[in-house]
Amino acid sequence: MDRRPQRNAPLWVKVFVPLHIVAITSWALPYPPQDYQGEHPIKQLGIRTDNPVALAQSTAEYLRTGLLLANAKYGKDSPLKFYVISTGFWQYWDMFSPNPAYIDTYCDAVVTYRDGSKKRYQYPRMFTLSLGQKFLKERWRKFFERAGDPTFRFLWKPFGQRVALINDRDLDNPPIKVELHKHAFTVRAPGEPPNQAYTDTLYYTYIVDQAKLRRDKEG
Amino acid sequence: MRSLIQRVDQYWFGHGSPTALGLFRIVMSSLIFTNLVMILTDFDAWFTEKGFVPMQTALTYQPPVPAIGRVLWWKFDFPFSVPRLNLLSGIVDDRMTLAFYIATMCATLLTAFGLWTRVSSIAMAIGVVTLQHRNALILHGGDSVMRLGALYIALARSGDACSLDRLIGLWRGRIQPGPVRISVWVQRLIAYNTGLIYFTTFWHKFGFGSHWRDMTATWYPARLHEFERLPVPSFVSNVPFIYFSTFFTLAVELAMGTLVFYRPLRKWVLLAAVALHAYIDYSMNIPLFSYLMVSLYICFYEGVEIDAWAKRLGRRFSKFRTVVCLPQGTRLKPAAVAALDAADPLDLVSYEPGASPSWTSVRGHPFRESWSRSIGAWAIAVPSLWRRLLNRSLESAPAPTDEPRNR
Repeated sequence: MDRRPQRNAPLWVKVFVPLHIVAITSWALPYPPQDYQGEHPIKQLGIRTDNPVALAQSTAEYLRTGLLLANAKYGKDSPLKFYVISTGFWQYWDMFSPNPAYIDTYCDAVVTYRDGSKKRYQYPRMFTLSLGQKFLKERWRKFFERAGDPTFRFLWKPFGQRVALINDRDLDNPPIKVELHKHAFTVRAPGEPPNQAYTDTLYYTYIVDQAKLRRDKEG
Repeated sequence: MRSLIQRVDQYWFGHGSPTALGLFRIVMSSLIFTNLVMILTDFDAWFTEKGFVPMQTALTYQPPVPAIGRVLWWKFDFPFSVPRLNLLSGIVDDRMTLAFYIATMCATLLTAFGLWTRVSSIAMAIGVVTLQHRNALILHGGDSVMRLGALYIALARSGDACSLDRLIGLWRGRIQPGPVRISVWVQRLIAYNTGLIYFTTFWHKFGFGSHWRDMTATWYPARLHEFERLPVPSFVSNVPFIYFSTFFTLAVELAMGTLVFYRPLRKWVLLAAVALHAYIDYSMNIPLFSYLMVSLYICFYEGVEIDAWAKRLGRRFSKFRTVVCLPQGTRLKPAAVAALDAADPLDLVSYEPGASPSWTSVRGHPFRESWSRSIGAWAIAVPSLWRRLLNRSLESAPAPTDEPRNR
C-alpha cells in the first residue's frame, strides 16, 4: 500500500506559485530614486549616527532604498522579467503617484487644406462631452496624455496623419498640413490663487502624407 | 516549523469550494466584455493601420524584449529577443484584426457564461493580452487588472462553479452531484496580487510623493476638468477635507496590502476600500476601474462563505419563495434534481409532485417563476428553452405510493 501523503496540488504548481510571486512582486515594486541610480550616483546610502532620530531615519532609508536598489539590479533584470513581460503578467501600480497629475490638458489641431483654407479640429475633450460620451471616449484622453508628451514623440506623425484623415472631406481639397496644439493649465497648491487660464502651445506641425491619405481613404 | 510549513501549504494549496472563483469569473469577464464593447465603438482609431496606432508605432512603444539581463552577478546578453504574447504581431490587415477582436469578445462572453470554460477562458486571456500588447498606448490601471484577471481565470478551474458547464454536466449526469473541492492556489494568487497592487501603490505614493506626505494630494485631481464626472460638494475638495481624504486613501491602500489578510478585519478593510472606489467612480471619469478593483475582492472570501451568504440572502428573500408542482404521475430525474439545485443558489424554488396534468405553481406561472428565481437559469435567456428543459427533466413516477420527491 502506498503510504505517501496525498499531494494537495501538483508539483509543478508548487514550483510555479513561489516563482510567480517573486516575479510579479519584483516587477511591481517601485524603482529606486534616481539619485541613487547609475554608474556615479548623486547620493550614497549610509547610516548616520549623530543622534537617535538621524540613526532611525537613515537606517529606515538604508533598508528601504537598499531593497529597491537590490530589486532593480537582481530582480527586475533577472530572467523572470521575460516571464512577466511576454505572458502579460507585467504590472506597475503607479496610479496618482508619486504625485497625482496637476496639469489639465486637452488637444486641438489646425488643419490646412490645399486651397489654403484652415479648420480647427477639436480632439475629443472629456470636459465638454456628455456623461455617456465621457464613458466611451476616455481612451482618447488617455492616448493624448501620452501623445502630448515629448517622451512619446514617435506618436506625433501617426497622430497628425489620423487627424488629417478624420478631416478629409473633399477629394479635390485634401488636408496638407496639421498643426497639433496642446492646451494646459497647472493646478496651484492649496492657499495659492487659483489658475484657470489654459496655455496654447503648437507642439508639432505635420505635413500630410498624401499617398497614405488616399490609401486610407479608399481602404 | 513543520506545522508552520503545513499551515502555509494548506493556505496556498489546500482544497476548497470553487464558488469564489466562479463568481469572480462571471464578474471579471462581464466587465472585460463591457470594455471590449466600449472600445469597439472606436476600433478604427485604435487597432487599424489608418488609426492613431499603426502596427509599427505599437512596436516602437513595446518592442520585443532583448535577451539581456543578469542572474545575480552573472550578466548575459544573447543575440535574440523574447517576444510578447501578441497574435496580432506583424498583422496589418485590419479585417483580420477585427475578426480577432470579435473572436475575443465571443470567448469572453462564453467565459462569463461558463460554457466550454477551459477553452474559452484560455482564448479570452490570449485575446485580452494580445489586444493590450497590440495597443498599449490607451491603457490605464484598470486594463492591467483586466489582463491579470483574464490570465488568472485561464489558469484556474474557474468553470467548476457558477457555470453552464457545471449545470450541463449535472444535467447529463457527467458530474456527480454534491460539493466540488479544488486546490485554491489561483484564488490565493489573485488575493495576493490584489494586496500587491495596493501595497506598491501605497509605497509609490507615501515613499516618493511630496503631496501625499503633506496630505494635499486629493486637492489636485479634483481640479482636473478632464477627469470630472459627477458634481461633488465643494467642501469635499477643499481644506480641511482634503487632509482627511488623502489620509483615508493612504490608510485604505496600506490596509488593503496588509490587514485585509487578517480575517477579523477583512470585512471592514474591504468595506472601506469599496467606499474609496465608490467615491472615485462617482467623481472621476475612469470607466470600469472601480468595478474591476472591487471584483477582485471576491477572492478574499472562501467559496463556502459565499455559498452560505447566498443561502442567507435566500432566507432574507423568503417572500419570493415558490413551489412548482410537477405534472401528475411524474418526478424529476436524479440528474435534473442536481442541476436545478445548482441553478438555484438562493434556494427559492421547490419542486413537488402535483395533482394536475400540467405544471402548476402557487402564483400560476410555473416556468416564469422557476426561471426568474433560479439565478443559474438566467444564462438561458430564451423562456421557451427553459420550459423545454424542465419538460425534459421529467420521468414517470414508478408507483403512486412512492415518497414525494422534495428538494
